[in-house]
Amino acid sequence: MPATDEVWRLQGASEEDATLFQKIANKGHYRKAGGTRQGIYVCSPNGQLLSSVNSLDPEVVLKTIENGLKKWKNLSVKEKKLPEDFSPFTSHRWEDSYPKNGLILKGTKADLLSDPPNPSNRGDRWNMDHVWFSEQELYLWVPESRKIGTIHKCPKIIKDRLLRFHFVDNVRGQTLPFAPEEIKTANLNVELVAINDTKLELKIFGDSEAIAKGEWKLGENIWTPKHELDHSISTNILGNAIYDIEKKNFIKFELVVIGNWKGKTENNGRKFGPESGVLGIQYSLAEKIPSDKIAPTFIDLYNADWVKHP
Amino acid sequence: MLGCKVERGPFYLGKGTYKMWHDFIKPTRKEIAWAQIPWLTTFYDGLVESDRTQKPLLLWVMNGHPLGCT
Repeated sequence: MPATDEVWRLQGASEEDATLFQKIANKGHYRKAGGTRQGIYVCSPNGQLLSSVNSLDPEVVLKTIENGLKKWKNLSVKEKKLPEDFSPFTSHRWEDSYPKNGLILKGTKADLLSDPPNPSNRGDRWNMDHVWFSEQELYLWVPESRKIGTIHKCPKIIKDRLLRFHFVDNVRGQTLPFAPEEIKTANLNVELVAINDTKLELKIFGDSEAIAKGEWKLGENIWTPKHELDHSISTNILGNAIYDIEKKNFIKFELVVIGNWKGKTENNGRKFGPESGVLGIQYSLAEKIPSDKIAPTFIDLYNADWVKHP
Repeated sequence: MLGCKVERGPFYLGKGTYKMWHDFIKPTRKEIAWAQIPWLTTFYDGLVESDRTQKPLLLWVMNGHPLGCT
């Protein structure tokens, strides 16, 4: 039974699913509590660890799975069941804040190593992203005027959402969000291109610059770095969307972002150079399936009062 | 009358290059193959389904949800 999860809550919380995970992880490849417990585990619902590893090598992962399967066959019936008093209670997950009538984008990020791009030289890593806007925030994207050619400037809350938390260099690994004052340029415009029946055709365009230099400005939290900051990104933004006036929702939403990044953060995989480069980001509408409802990476710092915190 | 040549730098994003960049940034079928596995999205759901189906649980946990990356 394949399942995925974010390890931070599991390795620290005291709820039953988390403590069961900790029991498993204490016997796994990272036995020492306190550090990260990320990796792949084969286990029973009773909390028996069968095998585990943290590896990017598919052969190593396959062997781990096969070892786990062999051990599963030797478990007793009881060991293959959930603990009798297992509680389903989970007090908080970020996914609880999923804005079901909002604008949900899913996207990917990749290094752009040449122009034109070479499909056989894609870089060895890429990343995914999810963006959440509430229903009220969704409407802030839509021009009020119905005059073709109208250019609507997106408000700060929309620009900050994207520029602070999503237009960041995490192609190769986890990075940091930007503070409000680190956003130096923020242009995000929506032009009404055409009206077809109840549908507004929109063009999205803009550019931005974010510079983080010196001390971390977002307080004490799980992201607080140990180092002074010295990284930046400037972007060009282009996209298109179709808004259905009757449904009060987007039926199409596409964005492409080209970003010139400089510098690095502790875990974003730029340690071995170069010092600058170009990345690309693309977004489209997420589907209403569980895997598209994963919370955005920086949800705990989001500029949104509708996000429920623990 | 001669047309003006529009100078633009590398990695230009405009109407003529939009699709090229969009298509390149999207992961290839091979890169996204792992997402075809019907992953449940929480450890809790995995435990319950493992119990119900009497199959071992394959759990993948990361700093940042693996289906959302980091």
